[in-house]
Amino acid sequence: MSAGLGRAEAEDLLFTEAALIDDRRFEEWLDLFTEDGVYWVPGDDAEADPAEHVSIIFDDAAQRRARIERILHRSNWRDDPEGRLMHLVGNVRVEAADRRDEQHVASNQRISHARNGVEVVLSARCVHVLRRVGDDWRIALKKVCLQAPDAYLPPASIVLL
Amino acid sequence: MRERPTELWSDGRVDRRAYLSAEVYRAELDRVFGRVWVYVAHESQLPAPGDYRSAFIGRSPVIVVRGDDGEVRVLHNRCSHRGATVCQGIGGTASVFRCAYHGWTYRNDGSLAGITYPDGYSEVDGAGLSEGLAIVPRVDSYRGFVFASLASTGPTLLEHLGEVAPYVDLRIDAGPEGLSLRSGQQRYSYAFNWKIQCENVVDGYHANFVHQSALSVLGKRPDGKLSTKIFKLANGDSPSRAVGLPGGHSVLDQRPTLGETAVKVARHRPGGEEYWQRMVDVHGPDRAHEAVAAGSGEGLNVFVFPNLAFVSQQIRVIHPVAVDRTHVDLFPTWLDGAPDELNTDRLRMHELTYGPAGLIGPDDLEMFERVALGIQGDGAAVDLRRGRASSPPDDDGVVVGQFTTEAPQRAFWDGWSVAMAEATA
Repeated sequence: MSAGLGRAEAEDLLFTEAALIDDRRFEEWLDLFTEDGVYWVPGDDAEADPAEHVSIIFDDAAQRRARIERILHRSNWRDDPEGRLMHLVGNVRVEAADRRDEQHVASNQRISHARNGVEVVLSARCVHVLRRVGDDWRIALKKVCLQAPDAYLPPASIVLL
Repeated sequence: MRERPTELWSDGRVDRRAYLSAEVYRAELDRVFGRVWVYVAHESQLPAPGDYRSAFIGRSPVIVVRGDDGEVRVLHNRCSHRGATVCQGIGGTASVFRCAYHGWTYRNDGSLAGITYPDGYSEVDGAGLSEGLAIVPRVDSYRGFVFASLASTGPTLLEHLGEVAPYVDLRIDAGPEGLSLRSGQQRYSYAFNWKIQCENVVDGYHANFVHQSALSVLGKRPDGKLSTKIFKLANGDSPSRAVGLPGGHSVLDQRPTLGETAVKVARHRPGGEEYWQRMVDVHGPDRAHEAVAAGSGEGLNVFVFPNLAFVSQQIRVIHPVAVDRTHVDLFPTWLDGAPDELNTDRLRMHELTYGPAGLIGPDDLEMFERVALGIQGDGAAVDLRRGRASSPPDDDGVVVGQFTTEAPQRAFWDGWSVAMAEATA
């Protein structure tokens, strides 16, 4: 716990991250990650090694950028008409990290995506591994464990969790 | 079913009732999924006695299980007493299946192991009470792919596969030691009929339009060596091919456009040179080239009637759930004998492109649901006549068309019509 991030600060950071997604400020969202940062939504076995087990999302920096470019592309049919995202972030806990310059933050999240008169809500337990970079905290890992990773997910239910 | 299949599929057009009618859907469960060979599991998922996988044949829940005697059987997942499922897991190992409702137990070969309080059945002949879990009458395997048929008679699996088997071989041979399924699965659903997904996995015409955003983004990736060619792949003058086969099977062969590049990309991947060397050692340079071009990434989409597809780095199983609801399983393939780092790299490419959050796959679902709405109106039909005049069938019923022709879709509906024809007494 040497890195010294309090719960209120951790909440601010998670709330800010959620707002960047919900407000479609995706470039700024990308900047929250460290260069080697990973954005991970495990599949039906969250404990399995992602090197051997398929995930729903396992993005490095290049893949995250591709994902954002595609969301913003003019022929992104899943966003025609455009959908709306809303994150609800709760139960934030600050937990110990393995590295002195890192802090783990656990949270529970509800992520709503509404489009075409239909709202899909997914629930997830999230872990953020935050790393101190200069004066800032950056995301070294965002792991989003869906409550029902084995669900047959409907189209457009996952835009950005 | 009131309509004859020939009323629903004729002259290159599909009557909307073929997608919308609950009566047609029920007939499909009986005549297609109730008779045709259906893929249920891969042997790599069942390496040891007692290993099982839950699966569906149409709407019938089944257990694919390797018995203690080593034989793979397909059992109905249904207690012979009151019908509750006896196996709740998606996969695992079991020596017995126990019904939680009244405690009846079955061995992993399906035979009845025990009835609770058996004295209560004294008036019934014990042997006649239950033979055990109902066993699916026919099970066969093609190079590790296990298929089952609910019909006790009919064509053999090899006869059913027919002309598509050599294309399946190419996908399997992309692994120096074959393919396995060991990386878990992804799942998605959509609110429309199962058959549109079957049509779509071998649709060369849609890519430049539906997947415009994904192609433009993926083409810019530093490792997107397919980039310039992938834009030309699905052009109207692309040299790649769409192939319709007898029995409802079909193929999208992208190798004339991507083949050389696909081999170069495979060799440039992490572990790629080692992979290529092993492929040459096992298959020789010509077959290695053919199989790597076909099966290590993009290259060859193969559709096996009625609901199995090889797409990119995955196999896809399409489950009818209701006339207007479909579940789809995606299993990334593991190239056995290839370096782990290469397979991991393939997993990452799979996740980026396919599955519920992929850049490519979900756009198709948007189109499926647009069609679902569009064809509600009276008189609507689906037109699959593209390239019909320019690519007639050869003597074996094989149609080789240009990439954007609808030869694969016509083959699907031809196969569907045959399967849907009433059994002649």
